[in-house]
Amino acid sequence: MLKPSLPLRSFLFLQLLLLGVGLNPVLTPSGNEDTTAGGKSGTRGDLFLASMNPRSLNVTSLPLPEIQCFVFNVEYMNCTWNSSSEPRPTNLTLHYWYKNSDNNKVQECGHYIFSEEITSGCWFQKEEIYLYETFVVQLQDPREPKRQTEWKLKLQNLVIPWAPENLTLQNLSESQLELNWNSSYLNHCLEHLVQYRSNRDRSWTEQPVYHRNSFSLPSVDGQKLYTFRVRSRFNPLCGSAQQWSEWSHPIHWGSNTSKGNPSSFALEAVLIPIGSMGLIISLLCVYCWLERTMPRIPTLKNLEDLVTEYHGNFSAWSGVSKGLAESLQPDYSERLCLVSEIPPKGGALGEGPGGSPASQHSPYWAPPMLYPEA
Amino acid sequence: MERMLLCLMVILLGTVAHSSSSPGQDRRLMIRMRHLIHTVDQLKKYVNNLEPELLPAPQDVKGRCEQSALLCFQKFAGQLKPPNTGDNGTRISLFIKNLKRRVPSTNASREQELIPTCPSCDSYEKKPPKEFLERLKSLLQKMVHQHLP
Repeated sequence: MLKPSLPLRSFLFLQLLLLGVGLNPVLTPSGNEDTTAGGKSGTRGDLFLASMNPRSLNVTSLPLPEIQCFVFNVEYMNCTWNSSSEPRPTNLTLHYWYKNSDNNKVQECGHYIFSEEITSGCWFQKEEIYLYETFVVQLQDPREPKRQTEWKLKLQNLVIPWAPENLTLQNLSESQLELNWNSSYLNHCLEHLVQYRSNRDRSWTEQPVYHRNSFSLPSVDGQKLYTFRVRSRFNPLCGSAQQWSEWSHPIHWGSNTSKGNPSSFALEAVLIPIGSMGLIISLLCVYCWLERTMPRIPTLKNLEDLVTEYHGNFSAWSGVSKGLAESLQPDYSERLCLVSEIPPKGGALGEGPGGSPASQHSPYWAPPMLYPEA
Repeated sequence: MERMLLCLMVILLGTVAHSSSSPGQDRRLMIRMRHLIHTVDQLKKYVNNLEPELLPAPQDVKGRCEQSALLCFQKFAGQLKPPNTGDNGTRISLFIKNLKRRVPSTNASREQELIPTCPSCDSYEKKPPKEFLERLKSLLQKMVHQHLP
């Protein structure tokens, strides 16, 4: 047997090395087998990286863009990815199948969506959608077939219904309003969210509605202008979708009376009540003061009470307060000042107590002192 | 003889009236399914406290075998149990008991019971309690979507 030459030996060794590396694919551990739309739709499920080929290490190490799928009202589905994330423009291919044995044939996307002439998504028609079978979608780089990624999705959690339509309002009673709308899909599969506000509210008021197409507002003010809108979600009886539909066209009810400027509001709501209160309090104070200072004038009807009840006590009968009566009593004393006449020197000495009438009438005559008889 | 015929007629009419798909029957089924889905959601909060580790969990059930798969879920739900008793243990036991309660049957479900080709319960892949409950919820949603108007 001929001995192989040195270059040939090296070449054979290199080939063996490459063969050994090629037969040892690197697989990352797979994540959860089943994915739901909780939080983020199109979440990656099982992930298979390409084998590590040293010749194209730079390309195969790059992960493929994440795919996002939404089923629009169970009429069609779009699965899209960010084609601009690729370092160079690449027409990625999409294949899909269902895990159920009836629809497990691998098929390529029949209707690609393009963005700047590069594939960026796939459109699925209604007949290709099976909501309750595990949907497996695979994205692949055609230039590097081993560079591929798979996702397993539950389509019932990725349904987005159309927005509700034909909103109508009717008065159930004088102040009760009922809102009705049409759903685009089976009523028992949808939950709805009603938002309403008046022209004087700053924010919306929300009310969830489950499995029916009506909402009642028990008390409305006819002087306000109300606005209603509704949106729907495929949750929870037929799916666990997190994404809401678009809002419906809004509907209005009521009258658009003028809002009023803040100063008129301050006048109506603050000044008038305070002013009224102040007026009432001041009137009360005046009344109390008058009651104390000006006693009431006794009527003739009560005149007999002066004799029968009060025994001639005028002040008590009239209602003058004791304090006022006492204050009117004189609280001073004055000594009696006797004024006597100094008799003239000429003839006024001999007169007795009787005296002449002329002297009795003189201006300086002192009146006789009267003493009670013993 | 006439009386016997009359009784048989009454029984027959009563059976037909009971078995027909009335709106009341659908409504009862809807209420029960809604209650089941709510129970599954509540039980998912306690998955970390549930045993055993693995349970057969049907998925991607073939057409017309949903009723059989639901019976399998209800059978294995009885094996779920909290590791210890307590406030949460009592609540978990109530949820599990609710899962095992019978679901009102419809015409479609009665027809499915006659199909012998549905897989047996033990043939399904075993999964942890969290995945078990997710698949149960998925099956219930499928049944609501397909069997109710």
